[in-house]
Amino acid sequence: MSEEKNVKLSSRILKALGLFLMIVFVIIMYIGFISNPMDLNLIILGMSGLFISVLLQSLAAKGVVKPEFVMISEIKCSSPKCDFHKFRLFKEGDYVYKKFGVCEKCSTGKMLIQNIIQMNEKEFKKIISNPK
Amino acid sequence: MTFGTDNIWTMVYNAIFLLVIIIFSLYGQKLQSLFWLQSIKNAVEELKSMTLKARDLLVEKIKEIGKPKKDPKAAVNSFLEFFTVTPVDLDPAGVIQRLEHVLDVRKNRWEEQVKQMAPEANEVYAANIENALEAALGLHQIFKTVRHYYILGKKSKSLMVIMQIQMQLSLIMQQAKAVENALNAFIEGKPIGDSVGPLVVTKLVQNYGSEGNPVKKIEDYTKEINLYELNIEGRNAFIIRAKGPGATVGKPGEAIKKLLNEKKNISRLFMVDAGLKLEGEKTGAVIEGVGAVIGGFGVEKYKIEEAAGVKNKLPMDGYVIKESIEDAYGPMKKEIADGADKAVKLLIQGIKERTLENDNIIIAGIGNCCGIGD
Repeated sequence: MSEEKNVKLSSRILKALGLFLMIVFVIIMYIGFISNPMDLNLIILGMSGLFISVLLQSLAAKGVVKPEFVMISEIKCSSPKCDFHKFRLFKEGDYVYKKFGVCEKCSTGKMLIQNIIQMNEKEFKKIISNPK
Repeated sequence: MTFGTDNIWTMVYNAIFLLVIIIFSLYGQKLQSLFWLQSIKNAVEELKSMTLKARDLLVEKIKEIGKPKKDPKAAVNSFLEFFTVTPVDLDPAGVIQRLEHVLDVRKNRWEEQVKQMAPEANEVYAANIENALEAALGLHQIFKTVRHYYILGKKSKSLMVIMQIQMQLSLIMQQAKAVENALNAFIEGKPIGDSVGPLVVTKLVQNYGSEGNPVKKIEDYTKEINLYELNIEGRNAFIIRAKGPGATVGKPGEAIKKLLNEKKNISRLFMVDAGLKLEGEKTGAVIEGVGAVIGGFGVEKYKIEEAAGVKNKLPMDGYVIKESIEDAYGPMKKEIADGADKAVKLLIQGIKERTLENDNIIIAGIGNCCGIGD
């Protein structure tokens, strides 16, 4: 899916910290290896640090915020002369091309459900606050 | 190396280091299988809770809509174990007819069961409950299969068994989530991604039908299939789709076959359906091709190929709206609804380019009609 992942700020920080620690501990381990004689303390410290940094990164991966979806009904007026158009939350019993009631705007045509779609809650709120 | 050191911390580090190496070299595989088993166990627990939640939701809906005299829980529980034996294919001659018969018997049995469980439910709700029941059964089967491999892996301690199921777990869970979404959509009567085929042809009927161009509608042309006849761009179009807004699929192959027998001078067949996308492809993208664009067990596809292709040598154009399996089972996304508009434009363009005025054409919108009226 091409949806952009929404990650918590704390998780981003944790991931960056994990990555930074990983680099630091790899360097420490490297120094331990190239020391003459080989410094086992540094190698073990580096390995332990690597373990912690991987743990931090895996914890950070859990911070993906799943987007909230809502089901909405797009309503228009059945009369071609009327430009009435609104979105509302889906109600049980709604179906596409359902005609009901009288148009809120022209009072001549019927209300017609043009579409029923699942939308990101944020996107829906944006549409509701700023209808075209 | 500093093994022979007086520093107590270095000695502790060294001991831990050696211990870790020994443990992992001797018991690495066992530890790995324990981790895998734990992840399978977590999935089994999750699937169990999904199945129970789905069943309870379904039972509540049946009680609310169907007003049964006795609690439908026991009937739903026993129906979750329902099985269908597909015909033997060692002798493939006539296997399609035999398969169709088994599927018909199955469908009748499901309808009867829903009628018994929810006697007050109308046609639309009965179809929705039937589909929700099928989704619940699917979820239950996934749960049972994963649990089977979990217990088998635990009993046999076979790394092969454990590994096989663990490595497929993410895909299995994805499928289970899709089925769960479908169940919720059916219960509430929401259009699903698979409803896009009927949505496209309904848009055509709505766009072109008017007082000057009246739509001739034949309800239940074949079981659960409606036929609409109207003029589209000067062509006489016969539009086929399942009967909505209940969750019905019907037998579009049967309807096309009947139509081809009744109307002898059909010049082209257009079909629209939802199709599975590959990862990386865009949801709602519309693609064109040729052939019978229809999924399922293959019975309807066979009928279309036989009636339209073999007998009538009819050119068959297909339009597919791309979506993932989750999207196909789940509530219809905006991208898919937008894809329906694109498909309508392409379909009209195809009709203009590949047929002549006054031609008789068939347009079939394939898919589940849940939440799609006309």
